Amino acid sequence: MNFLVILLFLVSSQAHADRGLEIMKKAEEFNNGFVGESSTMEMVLVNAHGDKVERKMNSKVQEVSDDGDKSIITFLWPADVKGTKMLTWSHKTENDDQWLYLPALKRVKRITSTNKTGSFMGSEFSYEDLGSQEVEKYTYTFKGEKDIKGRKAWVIERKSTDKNSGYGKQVVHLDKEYQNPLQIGYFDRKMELLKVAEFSNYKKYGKYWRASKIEMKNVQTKKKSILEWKNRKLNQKFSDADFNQNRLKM
Amino acid sequence: MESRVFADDHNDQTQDFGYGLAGRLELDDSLDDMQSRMQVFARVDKEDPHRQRLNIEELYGQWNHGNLSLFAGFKTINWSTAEAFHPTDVINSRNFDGPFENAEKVGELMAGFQYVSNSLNFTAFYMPLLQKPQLPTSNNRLSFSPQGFAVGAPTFVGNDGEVLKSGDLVQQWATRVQAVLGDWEFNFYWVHHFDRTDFRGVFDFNRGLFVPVLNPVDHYAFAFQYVVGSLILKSENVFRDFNEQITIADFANSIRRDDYFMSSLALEYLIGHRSGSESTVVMEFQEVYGVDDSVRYTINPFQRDLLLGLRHAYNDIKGKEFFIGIIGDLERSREILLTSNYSQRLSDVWKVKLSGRYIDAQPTGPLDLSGMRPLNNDHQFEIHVSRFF
Repeated sequence: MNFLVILLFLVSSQAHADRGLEIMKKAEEFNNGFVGESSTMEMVLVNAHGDKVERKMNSKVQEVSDDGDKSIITFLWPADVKGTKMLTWSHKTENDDQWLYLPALKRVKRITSTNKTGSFMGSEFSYEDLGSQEVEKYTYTFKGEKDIKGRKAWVIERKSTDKNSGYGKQVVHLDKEYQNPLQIGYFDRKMELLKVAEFSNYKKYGKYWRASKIEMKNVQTKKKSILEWKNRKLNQKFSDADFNQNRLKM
Repeated sequence: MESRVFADDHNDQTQDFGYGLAGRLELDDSLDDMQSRMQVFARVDKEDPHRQRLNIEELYGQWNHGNLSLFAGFKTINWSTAEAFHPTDVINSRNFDGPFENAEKVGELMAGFQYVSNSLNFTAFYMPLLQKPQLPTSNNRLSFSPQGFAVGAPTFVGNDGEVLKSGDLVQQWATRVQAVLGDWEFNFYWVHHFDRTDFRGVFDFNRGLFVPVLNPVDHYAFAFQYVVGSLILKSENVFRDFNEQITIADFANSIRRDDYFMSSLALEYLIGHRSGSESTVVMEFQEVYGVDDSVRYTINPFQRDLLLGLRHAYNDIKGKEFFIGIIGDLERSREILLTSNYSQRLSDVWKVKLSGRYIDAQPTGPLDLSGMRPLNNDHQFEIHVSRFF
């Protein structure tokens, strides 16, 4: 009897893992083919007392068919970091390649991408939250279905395969129509809820849906950061040279 | 606004205190494939008029078409990979009135092209104009000249002994091939120019001058970076090929310029903290090979030196960051430089930076200009308050 219970549990676990992976792969396939994307990003950082500061960036992403995407973030505000650029060549399983252009020194600096927990511009977003979300970088467990704010979503738990990840697990609520998250719960290494990201203001670009707003709340510190996209354009054709380290200077 | 104060050297001839204003104007424009940029730096110091500067750092146009770029004008080139020791970063004249391991750069007039691809990049440029280094005057605490000697005008002496002056037209060029192969990055350089980071001081006893002499040199250099997890391994290596025996007519004597090899090795290890902050442990070593010890000591302040440092970035709203490091000569005892700095935003448009340096490098005599000894006891504290517009 015990053997049968264990066997059923194992078969059920594998089925949930397979189902989770299958959903995430379909979502990735659905989102493939956007070619390139450009946008302006505005981020508002709110502390526990409600004080606000603003950050601004430009973003360019080039889709790479057989590997992770390439991206450049150009910092526009605050003034002291204006012109700083971060170039990322993401990979499906290996660590991403990253370079930072420091305009004050005119220097392109190679940096490691292992600091997943680092805060992005002092916000509640970590580099891990904003980095590439390749399917291959996680393991999945299907947890069921749920309605969130009137929308139907799959609930999938994912765990990073990267030992440097700051999270014990993430619980993703993936919208069935948008094929993108409505909400992600981030749990720390002690498996306590750390942050909740809510994705909203979805807009359609051709067949693709993109959230125009992410609100990241840190439930432990009560701080939050709101990231909004403006002037987003998809199907942008960039050349490889646009994502070359030597072109960061201009 | 910037202010600096040195430990009192009990010498009325030197300037221990300075405060002034510095500004940098930057303009960028682009139209289709054309881009242009201007960056001008100016400084005035109320206490020391010799610190006054007006430098064009960048003033150029660039045309990008696919993988090819053409550019012309004044540019600042940074080929360094490490914090303190960067033997391959040799383009541009410098203003040595500041930290000599990371001196301010002056734009270099050049015209050239760059070809980039996914894994291989090629750059070549021609630099027709002689531009002198900006050296601290003898009343400046960061002066390399011995006490009692004024700093003469930098003198360019060609391979045939001809004396040239700043502003003359000469043949100078640089090429760089860069290969990026996954976690590896390789760079190969060939530069032919008057190197403003490497000059010899010649004493003119009749006029009481210490004259920096610069000669043409060919650099054959190689550098690499390798990323493995949280660790980055870096190395820069250069062979400097001089015309070894150069007669300097103006001084009725000759100066021997020995070929030498300079190499640096650096390790950077990044530690991410759960708080979102990050620390980077830095270790760098630089060595000069191929010359007698007595020559080696005078080639560079860091000729067998080790840097140990720690940078901590809080990654917070104020962008707080500090660095503390020590550079020590591994061969000669009591030759160390302690350096530290801290910076943070005061608001979105105001920023403050505090920095301090402590230099202990006891000279053996008044004309001992080896290693860091010319700067012995030039301990200093600086504060910079910046307003961005």
